[in-house]
Amino acid sequence: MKPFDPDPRDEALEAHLRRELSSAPDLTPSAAFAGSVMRAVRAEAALASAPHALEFPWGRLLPGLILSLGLTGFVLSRLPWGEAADSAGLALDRVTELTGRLPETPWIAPTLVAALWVAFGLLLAVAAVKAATLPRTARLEIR
Amino acid sequence: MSDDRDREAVQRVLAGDVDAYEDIVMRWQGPLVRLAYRFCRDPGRAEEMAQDAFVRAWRALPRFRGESAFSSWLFAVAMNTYRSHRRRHGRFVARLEALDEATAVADASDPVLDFERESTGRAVQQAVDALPAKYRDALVLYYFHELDVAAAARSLGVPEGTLKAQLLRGRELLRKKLGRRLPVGAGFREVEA
Repeated sequence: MKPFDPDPRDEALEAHLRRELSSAPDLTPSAAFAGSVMRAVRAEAALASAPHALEFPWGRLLPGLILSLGLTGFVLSRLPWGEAADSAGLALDRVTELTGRLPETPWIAPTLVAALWVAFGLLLAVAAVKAATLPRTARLEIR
Repeated sequence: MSDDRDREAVQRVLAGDVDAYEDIVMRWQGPLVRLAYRFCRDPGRAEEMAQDAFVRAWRALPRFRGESAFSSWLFAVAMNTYRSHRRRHGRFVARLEALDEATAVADASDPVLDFERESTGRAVQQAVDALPAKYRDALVLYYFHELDVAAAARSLGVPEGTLKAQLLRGRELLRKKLGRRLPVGAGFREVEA
């Protein structure tokens, strides 16, 4: 019995692999290919050379957040809470006085006040972001 | 020689001469399109993929450190591009290649034998397409680089030993998949014990 070397199936597989993967098909890029690539590259280059948008300073956000939380905590710890409770009571009295009767939900007045403060805070934040992006827009218009 | 010209073109591009990139495109468009064709078997799509590869290479050019030949770096970028195309579009459907058919008809001395060869060839191609990506890429690159293990390994960004192991495993899987479709008796030689 004569051994076969290499395994004939290996040889057949190798021959097919070479034929399928190695034999370069007569495939040449179309005449317009290089031009099309260069158009895409020039478009990229134009984008790259355009002025970068002013980005939101996320890097500064964290220290700013920590600082503002610390300050808020400090201020809250210093607040005369007793007087604040009196103020809430006064606000409730005022609502009662204006409407002539106690509101059905007596907690609504202080909640409303708090909600107004939150809305004011949000408005302030939006205005700050708008103000931060304003110079970029203005600069673009000048160009 | 070609690498010197590539490096010179890269320097010019990095200095702001966008048009210098055309030298690189003209030099490497053929190989990149043909490599893309190995992945999609569609000439039109191969051009789209190659264009994407050239644009990505242009973007990444500042990161080319010149430690290897520019062509190796370009092929590595192209391979990553083609892989992501494959991930996005799934497996490409192999198309019958008109050229192959024409060649087959022209070469056909024995129509039955030719049909078998064509049919097995297509089965091999489908089996290669169905391999896990790392084995398929290894095989495609190895044969694309005309059996140059070092060049294929550089294009894939893996050590040569890893590539050899992948080639070995890829062939094993192909043998299992193809089983009896591989003809025994054609083209082998007997050796004395």
